[in-house]
Amino acid sequence: MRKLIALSLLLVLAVAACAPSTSTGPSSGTPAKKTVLRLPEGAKITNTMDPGVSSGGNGLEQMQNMFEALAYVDQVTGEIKPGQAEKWTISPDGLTYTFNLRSGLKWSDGQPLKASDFEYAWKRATDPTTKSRYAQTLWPVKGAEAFGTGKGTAEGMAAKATDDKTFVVTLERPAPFFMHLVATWTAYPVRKDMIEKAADKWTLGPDTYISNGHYRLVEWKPEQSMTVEKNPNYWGENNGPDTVVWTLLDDQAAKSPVAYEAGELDRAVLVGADITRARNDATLSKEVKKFERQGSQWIILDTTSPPLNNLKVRQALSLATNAKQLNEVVLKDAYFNAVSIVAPGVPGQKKENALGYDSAKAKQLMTEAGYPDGKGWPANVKFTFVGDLAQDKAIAEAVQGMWKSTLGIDIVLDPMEAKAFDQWRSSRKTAPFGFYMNGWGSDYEDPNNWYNLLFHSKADFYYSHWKNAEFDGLLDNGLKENDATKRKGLYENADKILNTEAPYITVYHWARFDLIKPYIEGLYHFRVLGRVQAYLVRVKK
Amino acid sequence: MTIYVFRRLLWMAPSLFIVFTLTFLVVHATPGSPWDEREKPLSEAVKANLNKQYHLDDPLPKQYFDYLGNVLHGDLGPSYRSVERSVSEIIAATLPVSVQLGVASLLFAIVVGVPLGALAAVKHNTWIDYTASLVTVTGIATPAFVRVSLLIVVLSLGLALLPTGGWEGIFDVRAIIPILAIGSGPAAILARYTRSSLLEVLGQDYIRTAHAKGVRPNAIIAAHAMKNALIPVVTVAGVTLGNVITGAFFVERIYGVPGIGRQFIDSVTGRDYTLLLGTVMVFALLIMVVNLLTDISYGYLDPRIRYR
Repeated sequence: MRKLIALSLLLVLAVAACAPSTSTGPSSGTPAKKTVLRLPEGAKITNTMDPGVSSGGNGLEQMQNMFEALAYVDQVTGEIKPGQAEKWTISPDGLTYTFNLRSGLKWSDGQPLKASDFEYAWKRATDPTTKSRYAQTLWPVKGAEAFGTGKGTAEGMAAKATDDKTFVVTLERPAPFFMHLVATWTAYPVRKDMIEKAADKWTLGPDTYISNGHYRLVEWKPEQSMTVEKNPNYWGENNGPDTVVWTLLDDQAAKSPVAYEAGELDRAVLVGADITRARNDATLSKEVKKFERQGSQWIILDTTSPPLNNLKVRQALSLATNAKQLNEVVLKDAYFNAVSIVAPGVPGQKKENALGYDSAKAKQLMTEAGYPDGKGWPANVKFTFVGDLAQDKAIAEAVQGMWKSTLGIDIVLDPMEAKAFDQWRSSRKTAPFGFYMNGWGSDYEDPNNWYNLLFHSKADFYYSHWKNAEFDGLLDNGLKENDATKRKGLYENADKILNTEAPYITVYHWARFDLIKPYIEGLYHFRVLGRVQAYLVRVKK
Repeated sequence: MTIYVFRRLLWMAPSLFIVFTLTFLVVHATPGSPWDEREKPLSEAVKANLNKQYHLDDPLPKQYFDYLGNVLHGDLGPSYRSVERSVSEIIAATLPVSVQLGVASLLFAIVVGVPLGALAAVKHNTWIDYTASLVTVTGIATPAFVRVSLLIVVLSLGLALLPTGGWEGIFDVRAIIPILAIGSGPAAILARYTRSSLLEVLGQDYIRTAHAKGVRPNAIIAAHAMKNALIPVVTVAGVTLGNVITGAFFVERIYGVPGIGRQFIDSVTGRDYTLLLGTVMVFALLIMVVNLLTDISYGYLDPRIRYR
């Protein structure tokens, strides 16, 4: 026992002796002129840092900073800009895309980057044995879906490097949104020799994780940190910080404000009560930034079971929902007030199409529908939500109150455990329900990512069971239309039908709250995906 | 003694097999799959392909026997949610961190808990005893995730003495908060047990005999009383390992320590079947080994105990 005590004392002393007097982590001072940007990220990288396999999530920000596709989405205007490709041409039928690569492109290790690297990367991501979580991204390419589902071959996929600087892609059918897919991480080039050498482990270290973007990997300590430095072989300029260090945190929303206030991070993620706390704090209130996120949170209605199969009832409920009060009072302005079903900025969305808030009209419609002052309203119309989420609960209760006071109807609140809710939701494909809450955010700013993917009766992503032949027809034509103005018009007409038919009631549009240190300039979240692009950031310290 | 240890080691194999089978059945009976993402669901075609590539579309008995075969050959399989690292590699990278943290926390618990309990027993029914009781009851009553949060608020944010999280090895300042947070619970338990056990021993005849012979009071406690008083304490120390492990789950997560406890939690929420099975097996083995060590240590503390 005495030995044990002596040993433990020794250990405690050793700990004390070995502890450096100043911390050596990313929080310590940096040598003059070398600028460092310190950001938070989720601890568990979502599946992988392999762009061809990843489904985005944690790790996307790092991949976006280290890689570049043929084209990229401008993070301020949302336009598609030339990246590794200097220019591209689209055939008049909208089927063939010819990309001309820039001269002298290099990988981060100095090796030349060729068009064949893109061909390899695209076919690899589509190959079913690659186990990509986002393989369907490139399926509009001719022969890709067949290859991806095991019915075709790599040779049959119409993505071909015709020489070192030319990459030609043919599509199965016109896809006006295709350039957005070209800019996706799935379409980043990857290094064949490194992947063949290290297999799945090529992403783990800087020797094999060769990239082609503004930054390159220095070190990745899983579940701890990731460090990148400027890529000297990038074709363009990079006036951003010399080094970017991400601290990988299990719960960014809980941990990053703490690390930020202790001076360990330059940016923190704010949600819920922390937003109000920061707004009321003398120092932090000047560092709070609110960004738009192109997304909508909805109450989803089952349009096939009574009483919600009655159009007037759905319209009345939508008109009786005071979205301004929901965001500004109930949610303490943590989001943006609801405008319409589709989030602002998506081509086709028009705020004039929305039903808006009008309690008098709501009452009148409810009377016309046969429920004057709620008389005759069925007793068991349920509103289902995840009970553990305080915010969803607050919204459900507020909406219940609004509808009761305006329309005189009673709805039943039905809170569920998170996993049970997920299962319940998936089974709604064929089963009836009343209301539930869910949301969607843009992957890319194109109507296809909303109307066709979510609301088309063939997709019915949220199982509202809503069908409208005219709406479907407009969407089918929108998918084929190559003229941008005509295409927008088609979707605007569809948007009108969608809002009038009210299969969804918008609660709010998404937002993003950050704390950003005053010496950081240019740190900006674009409304779509919105990851930090370090090359746009200046560290003035 | 050797035969006893050998027999105990032999019994571990069937125990591990039962743990493996039960865990396998429970994880596959739980709703959800490794491909469920709350925010952006993967496309059905992608999920179908992943199930095929990872053989998750095989019948369950086939999956079970295939996987069991691999495990017997030392291959714990791929992690479904960390493509670049296999389950064995994740465990190899994270287990040493948790073991270091666990050992340091247990040592801290012993160094603080045992003397504190002894002091309370010797000075019992004085203000020292009452203060020690207050401290230990508080330590037992607060869970580790509350203690670690409090320590971060006080030591990192309030006094700015330590970083708010991270890990640079056991000999770095970043290890202090996790050790204090995990170790203080078992320290409190050990202090309580040492106090009551020592009080009981101090009332026995041979202690009075020692006093009568004129042995100095300090020597009586150190040489005569403590040795007997420590038997129940050692038992508890073994049991507190469970406390250390469960405390580590949350402390590692909150303080950002890259240990195996965090992997365990992630594997449950992410339905990463193989990683979950791997970590459960590691914890099961760990607890069995520590129980064996506890049993063996009795023999050294008390010659009356014989192994058969």
